[in-house]
Amino acid sequence: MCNTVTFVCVYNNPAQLDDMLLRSLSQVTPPPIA
Amino acid sequence: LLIDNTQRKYKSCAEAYNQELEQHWSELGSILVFCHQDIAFSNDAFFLARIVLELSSNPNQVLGFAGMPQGGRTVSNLQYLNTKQFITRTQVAEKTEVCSLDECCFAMSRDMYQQIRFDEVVCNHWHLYAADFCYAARRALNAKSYVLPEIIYHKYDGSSGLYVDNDFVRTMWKMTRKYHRDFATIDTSCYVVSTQLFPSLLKLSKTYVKNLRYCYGGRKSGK
Repeated sequence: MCNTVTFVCVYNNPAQLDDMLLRSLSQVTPPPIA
Repeated sequence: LLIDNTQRKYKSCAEAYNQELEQHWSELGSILVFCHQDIAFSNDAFFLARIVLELSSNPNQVLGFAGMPQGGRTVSNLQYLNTKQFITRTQVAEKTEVCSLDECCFAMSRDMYQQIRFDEVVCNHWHLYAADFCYAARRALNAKSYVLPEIIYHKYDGSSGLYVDNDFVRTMWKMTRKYHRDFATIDTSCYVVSTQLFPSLLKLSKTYVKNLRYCYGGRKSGK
């Protein structure tokens, strides 16, 4: 079984949007589920 | 799914989530993770692995990283990004059942979201949409909510989010009316109130007035 994850984030101030969040969202990949 | 609300297209987070998820429905994964813009994750992805494992084994639950246990105090392993200090006084060593989850970061299966959705009437501002979802899922699906013991980070130090404003009070009032036949109290990360008419009216009115005094008299807002 393969689970895919979608992150959902509303932002109203781009300056507050965390770089680390964006990096994290682009780097993390869910593990395969047997 | 990054939702740009810089032009204030959406009046509430519930509205933004519902509309954007509907528009992008065919692109969504089987698991949805909702997070604030000032939440950060470490790169080890342990938190994500845990979410996937938990929701794969039991999709009928809501998971998060901060919440309020029944009759307890707020628990989480959230840390400030800069100082690595824990935000709440109480941390969790294991998956912990809570009445409701904080909005900072929470997750559910797409199927559960489809059955419940966010309540745009009750949560018509930017507060309590996750807490309301937890209660709605418990009532409709008997789904429990849990705080996971993984560490995630909040970007900012200080008291942001620790005080309740009157939009929060109005949303909380609507929640007490929504759930008064189902639950004795509404327990959220920063406010607990009875769902009985007069106790809730009394407590929320006091908070409302305190907030007004804070606005016009420079006094500290309260709970």
